[in-house]
Amino acid sequence: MDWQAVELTLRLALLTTLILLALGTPIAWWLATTRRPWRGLVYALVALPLVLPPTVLGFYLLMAMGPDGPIGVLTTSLGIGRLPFTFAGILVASVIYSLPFMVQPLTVAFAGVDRPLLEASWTLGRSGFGTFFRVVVPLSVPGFLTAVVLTFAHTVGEFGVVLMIGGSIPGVTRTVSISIYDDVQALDYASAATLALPLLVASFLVLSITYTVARRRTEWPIGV
Amino acid sequence: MADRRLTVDIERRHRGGPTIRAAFEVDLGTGEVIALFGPSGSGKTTVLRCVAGLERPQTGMIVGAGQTWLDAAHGVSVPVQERRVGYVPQGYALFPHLSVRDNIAYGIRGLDRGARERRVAGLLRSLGVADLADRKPPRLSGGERQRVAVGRALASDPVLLLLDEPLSALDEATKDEVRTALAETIREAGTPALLVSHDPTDVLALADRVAVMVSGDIRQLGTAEDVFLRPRDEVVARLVGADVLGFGAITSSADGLVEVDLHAHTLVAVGDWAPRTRVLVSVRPEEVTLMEAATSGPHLSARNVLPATVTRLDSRGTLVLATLDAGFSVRALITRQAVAELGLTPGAAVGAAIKAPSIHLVAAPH
Repeated sequence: MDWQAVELTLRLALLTTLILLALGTPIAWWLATTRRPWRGLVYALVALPLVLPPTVLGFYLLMAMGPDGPIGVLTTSLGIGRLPFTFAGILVASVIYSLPFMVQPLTVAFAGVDRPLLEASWTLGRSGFGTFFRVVVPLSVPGFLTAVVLTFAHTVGEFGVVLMIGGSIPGVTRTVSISIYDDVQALDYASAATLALPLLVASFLVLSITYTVARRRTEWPIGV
Repeated sequence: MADRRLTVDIERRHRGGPTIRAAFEVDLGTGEVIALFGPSGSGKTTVLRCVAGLERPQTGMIVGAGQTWLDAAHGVSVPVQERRVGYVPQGYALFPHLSVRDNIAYGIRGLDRGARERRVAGLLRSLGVADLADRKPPRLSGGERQRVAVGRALASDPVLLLLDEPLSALDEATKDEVRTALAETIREAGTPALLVSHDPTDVLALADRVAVMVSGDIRQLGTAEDVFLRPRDEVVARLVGADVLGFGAITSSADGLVEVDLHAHTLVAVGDWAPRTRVLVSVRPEEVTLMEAATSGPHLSARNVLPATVTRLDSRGTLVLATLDAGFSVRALITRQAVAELGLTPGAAVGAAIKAPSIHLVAAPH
């Protein structure tokens, strides 16, 4: 088994999930509460990775991170260097690619918290932040659970975007799914199977547990 | 602390909707209860929400206990968190993930742990929900939820209670009991309150003064007695029901029947109020039967027969609404045939018969 790929994949998925938790929560809150007319536009933008072929997303990201792309110019001027074929590069790509898997369950969960509960909390002296952490978060636990598990699982399973941005550099960008792909390309089916089967079993187990625990408020994440 | 009043003078415009105007004062020093009374859509809740700080009127002022809460002209609006109002929204909005105890403790600020626990325990006891302290709101009855919501609002020691239709979420069977308990709680707490209701019974049982709101304006503002016995115009009269006979006092009570002294008449009604209780007496016009004045027999089952004079007859579709003077105003809804057979004209003498169970009594405040 390619333990290096397993370790790399778990690290990528964990960091992606943490970053998206911080990034996706305010976006989801905005989407769940705003009445702005451009809400639909933002929602569409967030959901775009769901329908876009990973190669299309990977292509544009590669262009953006390249020497003449906006991200490339920015990272170069910051002294970070260019992102393609680095771990940071596939991390950025993963964050963008998995955004809807964090934002959609959270938006559904936040929208399910009755507004009178927020108003009651405000009149009792709690600020917007205080109300969010004391009322909204506890009532959205199933949504958070769903969002975290889906984001993590989706990042573990991503392939096309990582391949486009990172290639297959062992220990840097070679994730489990790319390792399996390489094995199959090399006709090493036995090696591919040692990674593929555990991935299948682990994914199924995690999703089963999640949907059982969060059954009260589980929403199909793709549903808008 | 010199100024112990809440002064409201606001105008709230909704885009493509009605404009809500309201001007009134609440005496915060005496624990006065004011009811905003009117049909749904009249703007009562909007006024309540503006006072709470949940909505912002485009024009006007709100001054609470000497502090300017809102001064639209100068762009001043104190955030809802700092107004220290105890808000009980329609449907109560209890936090479903917190126990009754934690719901009540939610808004308590600036107390150490011991004082805080004592305060919560005291409220749990006085509201009669001590044995429910560890339960979560989804497992409470409607009446229990309402008590917890009022307790949660009172726990933060507010300058003013705001109650939005506090009884509308309850079924009829429990309403009377919960209404009485709520009136007691408000009196005991001594906290002034602004109450929104569309139900005359709730208003009479809870409020000292009534502001009648119709399509965004306060039509009449006065004591409950003023508004219900002397409605200013036809619109207010129709709203209050206009079937109120007056305030009376219970003189005796036995076997589930009470005698009520009302303007020198003694009426028999169903109930078990203690003697000397002040009650508001009302009867629906369709429950009043008219008979010839001279009739002595045949024996009637109706316990109350009032000698009266017809003052006016108004057409109500296929029926006629007769207004009578029996020392106080009584109205009877009768058929055209009955008018013809009894030869009713203004000035005619009649007897108005009302069955004891048709007489509706509501305990009046004070």
